[in-house]
Amino acid sequence: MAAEKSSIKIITLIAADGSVFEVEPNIVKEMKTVQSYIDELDQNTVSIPLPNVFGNDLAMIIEYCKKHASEEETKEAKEEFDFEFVKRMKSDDKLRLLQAASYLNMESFLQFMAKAIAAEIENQSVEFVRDYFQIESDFTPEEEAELRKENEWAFK
Amino acid sequence: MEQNSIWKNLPVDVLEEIMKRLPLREYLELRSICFPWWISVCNVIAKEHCPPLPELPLVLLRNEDLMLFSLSTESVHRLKTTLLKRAHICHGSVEGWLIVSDNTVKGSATFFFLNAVTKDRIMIPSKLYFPSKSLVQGHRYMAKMVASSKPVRDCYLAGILNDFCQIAIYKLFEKSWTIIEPDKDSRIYFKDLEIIGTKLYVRTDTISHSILVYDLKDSTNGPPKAEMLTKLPKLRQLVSSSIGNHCIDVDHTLCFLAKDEASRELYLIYMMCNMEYTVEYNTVSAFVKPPEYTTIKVFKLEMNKEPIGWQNVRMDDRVAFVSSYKCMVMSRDKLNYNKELIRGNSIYIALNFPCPKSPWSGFQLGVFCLTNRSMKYFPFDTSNHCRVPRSLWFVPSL
Repeated sequence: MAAEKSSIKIITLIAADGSVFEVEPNIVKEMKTVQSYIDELDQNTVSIPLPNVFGNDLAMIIEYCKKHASEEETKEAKEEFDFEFVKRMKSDDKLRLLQAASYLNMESFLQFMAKAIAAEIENQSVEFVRDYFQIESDFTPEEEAELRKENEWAFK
Repeated sequence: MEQNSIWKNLPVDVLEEIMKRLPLREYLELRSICFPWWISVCNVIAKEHCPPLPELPLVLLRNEDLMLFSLSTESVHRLKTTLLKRAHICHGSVEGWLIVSDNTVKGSATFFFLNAVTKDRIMIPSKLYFPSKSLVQGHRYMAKMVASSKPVRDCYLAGILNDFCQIAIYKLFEKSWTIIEPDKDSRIYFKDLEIIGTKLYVRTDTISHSILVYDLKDSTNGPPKAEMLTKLPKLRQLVSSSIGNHCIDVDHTLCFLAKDEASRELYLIYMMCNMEYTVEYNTVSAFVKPPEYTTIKVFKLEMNKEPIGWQNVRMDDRVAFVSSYKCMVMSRDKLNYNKELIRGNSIYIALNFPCPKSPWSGFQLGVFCLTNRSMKYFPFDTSNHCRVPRSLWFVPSL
């Protein structure tokens, strides 16, 4: 069984929009959802549908995994990559990637995205955070006033 | 709008990942984004498995107004909500809870805990009748108060009376208070106190200069008995000189007991200062120069050593907050804050040296840097106030 598993050369991931990604096994190690799927199968080639992740997002996740799985890259280069990786994303992208990370059960990537989002909303106003998540308030003006009172001591 | 609201129902585990990297104020802010988030955040708070990062302490400033000083904005904020009435006095704090007394009736007082964030109130059902007998004449009231924890069952509350000869202790939510007095003929005065767990530590006056410890659980046969724990580190000799009513003090030492809530350790803070002041009727009437700190020493009580003693500790990885009614020491790592905001080797000070002729000259709100021994004052506009505020540190919590 163990010998057979190591013979898997290529894993095919199929995103929600049908786009196909072929990756090496070490790339998906971090994706526990995918990994448990592979472990259950007894085949040399596997193809895994990911109906909750879109192609664009999966491409980004794979790019991240490739960089971090690489043994040639220095720690500094990986940090530099992380910085640029977050910088080019919109808030919407980050949230989608966070959800994808949660679905794929990718612990370190999930933490990485959550940290990036937390850093952006910390010390910002309620209005900013609503904009960020594109949520409109569904509280009545009276409730709003009450909530503001509760947050009165949180000076920013 | 419909398509915009996809993040309205963010899965709780995803929301938690973001939340656990944020302090309490952000928890409350996320709660006020929309109704589904309000429910999610409330659930996360209630389950207690994902606690917020620690908040920075705030200073409660109270005169005819009630204000809060924030370290993150380095400014004073006025609250719109009325937290306290005129007859309410704050005697101390434990986490986000203020320990408050209501003194409307002379000779007795009622007490309550007030959460400065939620405005929740927990009343102490038993009234305290101040003992009529005392070595010291005059009107009796409570000075500083401390508590072992948030106001839950088995929390202990203790306070020094203003005669410095009596300590009142109370266990939530029992029927009555217990009064502790020094042993007869010992001539000891109680100067400061702190509770850790079920132990009450009391600092005595500069003559006996020691720490007494009381086991609060031991109250079956009358009030708990004092045990002399250890002497306090030696003070520098105060050098005082005066010409007429003009005085100069060198190495005047202020002592404070402090606790680290997280590690349950007891600390002692010595603040040496020089001051120049004028005297009227044997008390300070005005400062010619505000008290100027020359050095501040922090000692930790070493309980595991034999004999029990004090260790002078470095403050690189700790930070101390000093006020007359609450002092605390915290680990800087735990505070998880921007290193610029809470610098190492610093003592944050919110004190008031009483001085009737020019009250504001004794008001101090700032940070003392141990490295270059200098004080940086935080901006405080005194022009809008009649009276100097009483200041008290507390850490916002639920």
